[in-house]
Amino acid sequence: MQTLIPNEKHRILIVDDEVIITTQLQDFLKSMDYQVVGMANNGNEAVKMAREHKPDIILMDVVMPGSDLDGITAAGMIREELDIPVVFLTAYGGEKILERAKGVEPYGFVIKPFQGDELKAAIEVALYRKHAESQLKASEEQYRSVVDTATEAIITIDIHMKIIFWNRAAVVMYGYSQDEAAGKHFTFLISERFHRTIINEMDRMVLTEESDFVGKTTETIAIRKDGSEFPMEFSLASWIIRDEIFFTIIARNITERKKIESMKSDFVSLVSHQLKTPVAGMLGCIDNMLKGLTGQLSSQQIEYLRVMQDISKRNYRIISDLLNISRIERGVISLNIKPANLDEIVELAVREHKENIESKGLKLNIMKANGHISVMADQDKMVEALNNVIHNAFKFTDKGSISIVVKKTREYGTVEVHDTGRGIPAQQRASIFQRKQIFDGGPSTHGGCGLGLYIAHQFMQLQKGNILVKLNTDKGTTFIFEIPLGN
Amino acid sequence: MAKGTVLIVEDETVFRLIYRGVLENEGFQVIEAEDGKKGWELAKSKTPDLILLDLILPGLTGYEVLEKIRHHEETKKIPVVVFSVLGESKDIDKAIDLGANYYRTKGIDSPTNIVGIIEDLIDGKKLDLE
Repeated sequence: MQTLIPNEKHRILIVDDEVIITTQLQDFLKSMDYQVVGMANNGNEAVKMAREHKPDIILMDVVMPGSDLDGITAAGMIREELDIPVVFLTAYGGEKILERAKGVEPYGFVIKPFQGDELKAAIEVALYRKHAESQLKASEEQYRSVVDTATEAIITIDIHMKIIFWNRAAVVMYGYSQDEAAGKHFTFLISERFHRTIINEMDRMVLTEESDFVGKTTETIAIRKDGSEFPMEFSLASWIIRDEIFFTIIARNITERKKIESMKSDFVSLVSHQLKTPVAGMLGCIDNMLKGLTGQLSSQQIEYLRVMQDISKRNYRIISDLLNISRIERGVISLNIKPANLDEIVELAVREHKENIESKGLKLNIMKANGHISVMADQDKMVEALNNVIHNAFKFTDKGSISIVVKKTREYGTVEVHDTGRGIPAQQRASIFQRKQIFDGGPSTHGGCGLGLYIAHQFMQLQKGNILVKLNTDKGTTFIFEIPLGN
Repeated sequence: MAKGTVLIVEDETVFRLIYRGVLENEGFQVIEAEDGKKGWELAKSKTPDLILLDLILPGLTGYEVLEKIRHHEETKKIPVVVFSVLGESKDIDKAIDLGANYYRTKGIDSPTNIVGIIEDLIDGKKLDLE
């Protein structure tokens, strides 16, 4: 037989009250290439020798009459103090003894008389088990030290969302000790107004094995033992052990980050104000002049003013686009979804372009819905998304018309924007809603930075709507906006 | 005869110039205030037919002026159109909650678009804000 653990000779302590047996065993073990470090005749001696020699394994007789410490008691002491594996040797297979022996968790049991192979197998299995246990212990210790020193709260919950594990960072973060947290429902860490969302999502995850929580971080508001709240971000992983599902949650306090985000957001608003206001002012002045409010203009003056108007509008759009991109990418867009009238949204979006479209000689058809279509939308975002697409339609259509059709399906209010322009080349259709490198290959020849569709797409997604491009065989482009219906 | 008096409360000279131009051209009489405090005083003393109110103002903010207008017997029925540069719906909602009748984003559409709205408001026609 080959030894299972590649090592130098394993060191064995033999304990038996019969000298004949110890001597026999010694020869036997030596022949099997083990090293016998000692032979004890009673329990006390066994404990003493175990302390002294620290053997790899102890073969221990269970019944040693005349010894004040029997094998089982000695094995228990050794296990407790030295953590050395013990294999019991016994002539009696009595139930009572076996029961007692089990109590000290022996590494094996060999019934006398035994065969050499049996003994060797028992020794090797015990050594192997010990080795595996030490490795497991080491890995557990490593895991524990990671968990304990982590600055994130690490919490394990069962399928009923009851807390079964709670690390030190969690104690600091929420103010509950490990004992206080044990057995509590996970939602007791979350501000009450978010309970429904969390419970629903967990239920969905258990039922469908799909979840918005897994593989990404979720932000919520947590609550401490003292009742104070803080913004928290968590991610979640599920694992199964013996058919039972558990979830490990890693949570972090994001108060500082939120503070910085809000500062940045204020800054963006400020920049937006400071950059947009003068352009809007300039546009207003030009518009008044073009409307004749400052007196009659020569055709040349009108031409100059139109050029200034174009440039200013383009500037305004670029500022808007860049600010929107910045908000989207930092995730600081504020949404205000409420019932809105789709016809009105379309009207607001068209208003800016009407004049330009008509002065370019294009026909503008607007087909509104028959009756009021109430949608759940953030009106500004929806207007801006439509704006971007209508603006594109205007830019890329040289003759013909732009048609806007408002309709209603079972779930959505829809707006179709159709133009008779140059259309989108087939190879570009797949990527039109993607974020492009802003100045990739130099600025666009059409003005703007080519981000309009990306922003439109992002805004529609934020509102739980969608934007699609229809594949037309004939010339032109059709975009379809879908936005959830209101009540 | 003037179609009515409009008070413009706006700190940016350029917007006062633009809207004065648009409104005078339509036959309105225009008075101006360049900060919130002066705006509120003129609203009280002149009781204009309509107020164009910027939200971001030195002195008193547009929201504060609006609140005062709505809580003062002589001014509480005056229609108010607020300007929002940011065009953020939460700012607009706040203004509507405080009693603004209409909002206008200082954007790129023509300032003359405001004339019809102002005429309707002065004529007492209700505008549907939702």
